[in-house]
Amino acid sequence: MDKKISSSDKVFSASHVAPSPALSLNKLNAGYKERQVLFNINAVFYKNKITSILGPSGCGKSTLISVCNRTLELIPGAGVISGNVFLNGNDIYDTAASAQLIRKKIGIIFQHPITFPASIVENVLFGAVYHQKLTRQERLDYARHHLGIVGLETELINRLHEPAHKLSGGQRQRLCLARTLANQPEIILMDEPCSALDPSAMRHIEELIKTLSKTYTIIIVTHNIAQARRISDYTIVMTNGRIIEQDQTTKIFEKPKRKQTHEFIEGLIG
Amino acid sequence: MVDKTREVRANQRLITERCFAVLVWIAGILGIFIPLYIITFITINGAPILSWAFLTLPPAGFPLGTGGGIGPAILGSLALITIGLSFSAPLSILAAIFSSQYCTSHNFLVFVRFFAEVLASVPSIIYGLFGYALLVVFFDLKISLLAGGITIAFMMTPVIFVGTHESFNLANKELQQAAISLGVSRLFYIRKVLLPKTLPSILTVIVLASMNAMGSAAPILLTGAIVNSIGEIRLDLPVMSLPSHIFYLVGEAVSFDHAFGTALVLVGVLIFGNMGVGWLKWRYIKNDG
Ligand SMILES: Nc1ncnc2c1ncn2[C@@H]1O[C@H](COP(=O)(O)OP(=O)(O)OP(=O)(O)O)[C@@H](O)[C@H]1O
Ligand SMILES: [Mg+2]
Repeated sequence: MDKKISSSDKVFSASHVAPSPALSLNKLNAGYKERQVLFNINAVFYKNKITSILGPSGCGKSTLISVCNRTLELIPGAGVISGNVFLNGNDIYDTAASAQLIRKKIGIIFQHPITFPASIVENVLFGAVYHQKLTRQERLDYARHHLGIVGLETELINRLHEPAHKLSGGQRQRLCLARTLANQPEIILMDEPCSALDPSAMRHIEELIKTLSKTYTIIIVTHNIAQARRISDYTIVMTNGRIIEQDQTTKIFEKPKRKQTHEFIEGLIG
Repeated sequence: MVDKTREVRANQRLITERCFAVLVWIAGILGIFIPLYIITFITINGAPILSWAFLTLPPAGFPLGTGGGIGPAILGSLALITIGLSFSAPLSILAAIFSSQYCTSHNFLVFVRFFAEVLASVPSIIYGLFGYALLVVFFDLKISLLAGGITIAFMMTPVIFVGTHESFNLANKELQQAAISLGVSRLFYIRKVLLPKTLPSILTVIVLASMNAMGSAAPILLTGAIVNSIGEIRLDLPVMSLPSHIFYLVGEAVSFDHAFGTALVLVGVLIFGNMGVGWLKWRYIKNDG
């Protein structure tokens, strides 16, 4: 597509001994029915690391993470135009790949938390009962365990069987996280998971994300530049559907290679 | 000067608002009053004849219908709706699932919706004619409960399809994305989320379609109805029905009392049907939201 973008072709500085990649995007172009949104995306997400995606509103962050687990194609007319996404070396867009299995392995938490019209417990168990054999006895414990992880168990101990739509926005966000965790994914994609949380709940989730990164590979879209700096090991900066820079977080923040990156993290653009 | 125009404008706005409020009140009162008047009128004229015997006995007397009751017509109407529903409900819901969940061709969808909407507004006598030509004559089902029931199914299918499809489309996108993104199959999503979520609106449209079908005489006059029966319900025999009975009683000037009695029963069934749905929805919302 655009030949001028070259910095994103060379991924990460050589001095750094890179851990093994979990997910990598190769020359990816994608978009919606009427317009292309992602242009020549090359990116690597490393195993058991946290990668933040930063960029101005509308630059394609949500679109980028939804191509990572084949949820973009659920929107009529949307999808990948060309390029590959490799999960442990296998192209997830290969015709032989099972989209269902990929979505189980790569969980996504959308920008707007959507709960199903069912109880809190049933929401947590939604994917789990599909993918695993759980006896009636095990189910409640399993749900409570995952609610506990996101700090909802004590809060909701007496309301576990209430409809989930009665929860607050922040509670719903955490419920969605619990629901994804209960699915036992390998990679977790999060689209602004803290947008409806107060500072203390946000800290809690940030701590949680750090803990989770011991077990999972985490990719997080955030508008909060300070948050990206606090929690992520790697950072990707995007504008207008292109990656302008990606590197270790410390490098991005301390000595960005591109002027645009510098301007963005200083709050001058976007 | 400035203050004055402002005042005038505020006054004008107030007048407009008042006029609108009066209009809304009049419309609201008429909207309640007219149906209430009709129901009262039917009740006053129909109530005197109501009795247990009227509700259970077959028509009698000479000319037929001046005595006896409408028992077989009540049974017949319920049987026709049951048959109609058992064909049309599964068919139209499956069709709506297909077109909202599996069909990817936009043009095909536009085409299907257009025809379903046209069919939903076709006058019921045309369904009667079609049912007569296809079922009674071509498939040689004779004038029978089965032929009448299927004709009613033809009439209800587009209505239930359009209503269900619409509620699927409204519920659809984000919930579907959230469910499918957890790696579950489409069928699992349909069973666990889509159908439970849209059940109240599906029930509503089913009941509305049934009530509409139950009230129309035209489609069954040519396909399933008979003026007298002892109340035997068999697929290969014609049945009496409430609307066709009214049509007969009034059309042949047999008995206006009996006609109003029958009308009152029909209206009563419709009111109960609607109340039943209201109750189901209320229970459902209370439990699930
Ligand atoms: N369903 C859709 N159909 C068509 N265009 C879309 C759709 N969703 C997003 N877009 C467009 O794609 C571009 C990128 O959107 P995207 O949601 O990926 O941005 P974003 O970086 O996540 O923004 P934000 O930070 O505001 O969430 C935008 O221009 C948007 O208008
Ligand atoms: Mg977004």
